[in-house]
Amino acid sequence: MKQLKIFFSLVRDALDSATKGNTAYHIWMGLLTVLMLTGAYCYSKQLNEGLSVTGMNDRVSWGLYISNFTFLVGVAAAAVMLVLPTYVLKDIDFSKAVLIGEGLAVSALVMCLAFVTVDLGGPARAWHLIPGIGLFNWPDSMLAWDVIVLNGYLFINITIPLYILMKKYQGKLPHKRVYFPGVMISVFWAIGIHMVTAFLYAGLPAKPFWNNALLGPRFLASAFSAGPALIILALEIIKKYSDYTIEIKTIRKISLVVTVAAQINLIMLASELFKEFYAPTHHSSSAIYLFFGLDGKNALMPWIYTSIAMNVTATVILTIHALRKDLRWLNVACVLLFVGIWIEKGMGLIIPGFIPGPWGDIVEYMPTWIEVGVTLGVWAMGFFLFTILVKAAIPIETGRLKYEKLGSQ
Amino acid sequence: MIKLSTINRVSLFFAAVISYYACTDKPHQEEKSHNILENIGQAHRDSIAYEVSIEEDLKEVKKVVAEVSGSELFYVPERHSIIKSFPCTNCHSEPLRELQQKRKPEDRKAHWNIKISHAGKDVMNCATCHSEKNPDELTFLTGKPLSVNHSYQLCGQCHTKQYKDWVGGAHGKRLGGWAPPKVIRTCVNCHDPHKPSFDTRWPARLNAVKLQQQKGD
Amino acid sequence: MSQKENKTTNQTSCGSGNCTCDKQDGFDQSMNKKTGRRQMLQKLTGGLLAGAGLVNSACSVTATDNKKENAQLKWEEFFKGNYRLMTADEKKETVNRLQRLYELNHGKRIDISTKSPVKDVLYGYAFNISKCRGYMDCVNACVKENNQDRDSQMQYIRIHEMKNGHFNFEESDDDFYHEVPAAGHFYLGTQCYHCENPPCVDVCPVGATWKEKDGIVVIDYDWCIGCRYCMAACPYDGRRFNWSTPEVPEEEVNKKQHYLGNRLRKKGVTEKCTFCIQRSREGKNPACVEACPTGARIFGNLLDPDSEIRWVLDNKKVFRLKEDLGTEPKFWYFMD
Repeated sequence: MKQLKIFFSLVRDALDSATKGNTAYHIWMGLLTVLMLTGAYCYSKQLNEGLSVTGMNDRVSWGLYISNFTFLVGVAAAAVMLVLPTYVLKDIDFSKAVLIGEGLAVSALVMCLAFVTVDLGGPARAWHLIPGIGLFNWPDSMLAWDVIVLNGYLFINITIPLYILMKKYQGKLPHKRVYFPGVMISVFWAIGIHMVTAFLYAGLPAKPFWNNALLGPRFLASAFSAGPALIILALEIIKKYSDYTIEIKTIRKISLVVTVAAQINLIMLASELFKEFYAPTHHSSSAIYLFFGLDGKNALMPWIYTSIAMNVTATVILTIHALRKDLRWLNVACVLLFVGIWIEKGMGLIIPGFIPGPWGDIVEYMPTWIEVGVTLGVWAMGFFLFTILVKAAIPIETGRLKYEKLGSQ
Repeated sequence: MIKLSTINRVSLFFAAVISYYACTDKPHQEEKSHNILENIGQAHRDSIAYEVSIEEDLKEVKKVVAEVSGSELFYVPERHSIIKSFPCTNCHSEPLRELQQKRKPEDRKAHWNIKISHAGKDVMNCATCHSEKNPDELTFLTGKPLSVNHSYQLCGQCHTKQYKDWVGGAHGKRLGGWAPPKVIRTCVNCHDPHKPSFDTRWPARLNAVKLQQQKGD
Repeated sequence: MSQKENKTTNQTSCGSGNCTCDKQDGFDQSMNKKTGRRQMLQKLTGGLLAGAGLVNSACSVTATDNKKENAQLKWEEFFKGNYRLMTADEKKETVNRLQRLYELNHGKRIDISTKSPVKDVLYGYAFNISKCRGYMDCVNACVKENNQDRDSQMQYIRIHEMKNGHFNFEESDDDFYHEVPAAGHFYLGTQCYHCENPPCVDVCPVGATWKEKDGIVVIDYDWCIGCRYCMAACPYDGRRFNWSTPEVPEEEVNKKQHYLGNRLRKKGVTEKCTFCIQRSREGKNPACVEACPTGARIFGNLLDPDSEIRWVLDNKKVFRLKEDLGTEPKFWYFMD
């Protein structure tokens, strides 16, 4: 009962904190709200008329939504990469980043679930997925696995920070023996969510471009560079706009993670390119379409070369110590990596997997404005959520916001 | 205070619940088959007791038992009742030889519109199939007469491969459906014996993609 | 093996309408329990929505009786279970509801069958690539028989025009429109192959698609959530999606329907060839087989050693497409 009271007080105080800010903050939140409303309008149109308002069709039956879903699963998974050094290696200065990381994980997961939902043809029937009421095709369907691991991960990433915040809110220190097992689970779970998502594609012999043992590891590598890259950017923004002190050491360490992951990602890319192009088979046609075009159709070519150029540039910047240590260069590299990998997951992986179709026909895909609107809306929702979470967590973490009974403020 | 150990227990519990339901709710699923033909071979060779029949659908169709040696019983559509003004002897009261003796050319020449486009002129003429003695009957190459109902045997004299395929079921079409009784169209139900090949023609419909392009144009 | 077989038999015989299992096994019990849970959900949601005033049309006094009934039926339809887990009574109820709904909205009767698989039958299909001449009569018949969306020109069958001397789909023309057969070309049709190991069935997260005992891979259109994972998993382009609400002019609707076959679909669900389940389970040939003027399409019971399909398999040189994927299609190609 008392816990409940504290919890409600925490929510109240957190909301209070999240609704206060300077003009820039309000403009930011207002902008996100406008985007969300636009997204909601686009989605209502899609609900009314069906998915025909998107650029998808029977040949390319997954598009922008599933691309973003795939990318964001990676971001969510990577957020927890920060957990490992903090709690396991006792690298204390990471702990501040962890809270941000888990906030990011929660936002990314909510976005993932939203992207899957907007992609459904019958979202009203989504209750068929609920075990016990519906019919859950587990363990056969990888999508069923994905539903479990994503929701489980969401659950873990809500409870751990909540516990820590509840403790700090009351001015107490969180008990390690309480949160540590949860943290451990969440680390393995993070790898799990991305592997399962990779298996969702890799398990389809119908799509030779995806049916590839390297897909899972490559998902991890790219996620562990794009995710922490976003965290670095977020930390710097938070550092600039709040009193939350984040040591440069923290950013340095995270950037090291990003560097190694980006390097591994490039090695894997090279390995895939070798396999597809040294001795091209019938199964290489998706890769050929992606990189060189087929039958005069080459809509994805600009995307993939942009992506590779961004990834390579970012990796070079990160690999050179002097550049990586310079925050400006680091930021450039992080932006390049994030965007580069976003393209790689969508225009470089999900879409070309469908082209050419099973019988060799090439139907190109281009998202419609409605689709873009919904996508932006979901992203805005994610940022909105992330901002609120961070805005609420920081004062608690810094000890500024405490349970009123303690009488500190 | 929410204890994380409790949380872990809770999540374990959820995992257990999910796996329980995921397993119990599922309708039974079969194991993977590795060779369908092997499975077919093992099953039910003698014991097919059909629950369905298309007898009802075929009740309008007059049928006769096919005269094919060494095959399971099947039927072919009866032909006499389909041919207009059968028997032919209604008009052609004399045998061919006598008809050819007529003085007026229009009396001599019946079915003048039929042009044979079947093998070469040197290989076939009307008498290759039609009996010269009895217009109501067909004739084997040996001169043995044959009922019009069983004309397929005549075709089978030369087209042995097609005939074998037809008897087996790889050539031709069945009437009604796949369930018993087996009534198979004969050669002449699809092919005109005087011109057995088919012309080229336009497809029955546009392809979907073409249609969409037309709409767009 | 035998125990499993038994279970399946039980399950299908329950569905046939003349239920013979007098004892409930664990499986049935869990099914019943499930229904209970679903009903609870229905009542709960109903309560919530009624509170929110969203079931206006169902409760409002001003709405006409028809409208009320319509809403009530749709409401009940929404909460029905997966077809495979329905009891004979539940099947009857949903069919009645669907028929009544059509009557309310279109003033005509439709006939929806729930006929279960015929005993001792496993359907198979053979396609003669020497015979097919690209006439497209099969496609016409299929669209008419199966009530496919006329608006998007949905077609289950695709006829590929191949150059002699090539067997390469990438070079084939699927959009031909000229007199057929074109010189130096042959024609090959593709559609759902009703694989023995269907990848589409494995991937469906809600079990909305499955293989029936007679080998037909079917979809419960009311259970499908429209995630399109099955479309990505099918190596044969066998599946189609209703990107919008399918449109079939009322006078063209084939009123003789099957729950798992050609009944009218809604937007946002997948569909595909069902070997015309509404026909084949009555002993008839699928519409494409019936319509083909060249006899290139052969359909029948694989378990019957005297069937035409078996004769083709035993006597002709047959092949299947993408056999390396291990899907075991029940659809063979052969030549004269």
